[in-house]
Amino acid sequence: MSEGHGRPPLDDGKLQQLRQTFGESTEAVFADLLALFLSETPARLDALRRAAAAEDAATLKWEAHTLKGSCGLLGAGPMAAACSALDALGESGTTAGAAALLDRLEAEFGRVRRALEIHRGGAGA
Amino acid sequence: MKILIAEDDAVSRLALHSALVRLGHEVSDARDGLEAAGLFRREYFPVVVSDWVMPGLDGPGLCRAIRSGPHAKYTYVILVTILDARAHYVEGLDAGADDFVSKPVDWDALQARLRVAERILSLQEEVKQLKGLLPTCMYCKKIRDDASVWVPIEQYLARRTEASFSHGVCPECLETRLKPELERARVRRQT
Repeated sequence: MSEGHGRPPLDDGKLQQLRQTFGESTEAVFADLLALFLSETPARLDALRRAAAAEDAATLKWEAHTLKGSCGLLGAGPMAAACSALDALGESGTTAGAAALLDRLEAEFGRVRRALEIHRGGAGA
Repeated sequence: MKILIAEDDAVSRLALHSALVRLGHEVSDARDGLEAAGLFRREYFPVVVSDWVMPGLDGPGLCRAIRSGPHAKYTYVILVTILDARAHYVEGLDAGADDFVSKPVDWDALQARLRVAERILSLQEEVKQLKGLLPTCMYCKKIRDDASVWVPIEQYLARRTEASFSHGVCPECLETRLKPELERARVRRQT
């Protein structure tokens, strides 16, 4: 219950809708999307950690905002919410409290990664 | 349509690209606003779909670059944004955006907006043709229409605009044409 306030890491309905968006090439594109998200996100999390350590609120905001877009696309609601909190923190011009939010974000990413691995199997990846 | 995407997030860019290709569009990608502005300078795109928040040059900045750009033809700009505050819409419109799509993108809504874009661009083209040079007969002043048929100017305009015509005589023609004609008719009647 502590992670994502009990919410599932992914909105399966949204993910299914996304899966059907790409027509004949659905499975290949869907697998590429998931692979890209899983490979890009650790670098974004590193960048967020670096921004927090450097007290760089602008970079914190931008990285969190960008990651929030990917999370929303894949229906990763709780992870998007953690990004939103970091985005708002950066917007307010501070990085104070970012470490705790980053811990939450990384925990959410762990849940999303596990859930996506299952979908990747379903996508034939 | 040829569509230029400006999106710094690789995942969102791939999703947008794939969805637009599926809809039958010819899609070029830029990883941020600056790259998009560079591509746009070199090549005309009728539609640009741009993220709002990007490093370097953001969505509104890209809009301004497009509006002050080198192409005579119009470009329809759709801004994609998570930002939902009304002030942002006003800022986007002021920068030259035509429409907005919220993130995460609702693909059906985007498709509908692209149909609007196509309609607007087509109307723009028609207006431009109307404003352009019309082939006119130097004697009878008929105009050659799209089907190469020579038609009176009243007919040409009535088909393309909501204008209707009433016929009168201007003061110059009254003096130089109508009055002499009436005088000749009067003389003919007397003889």
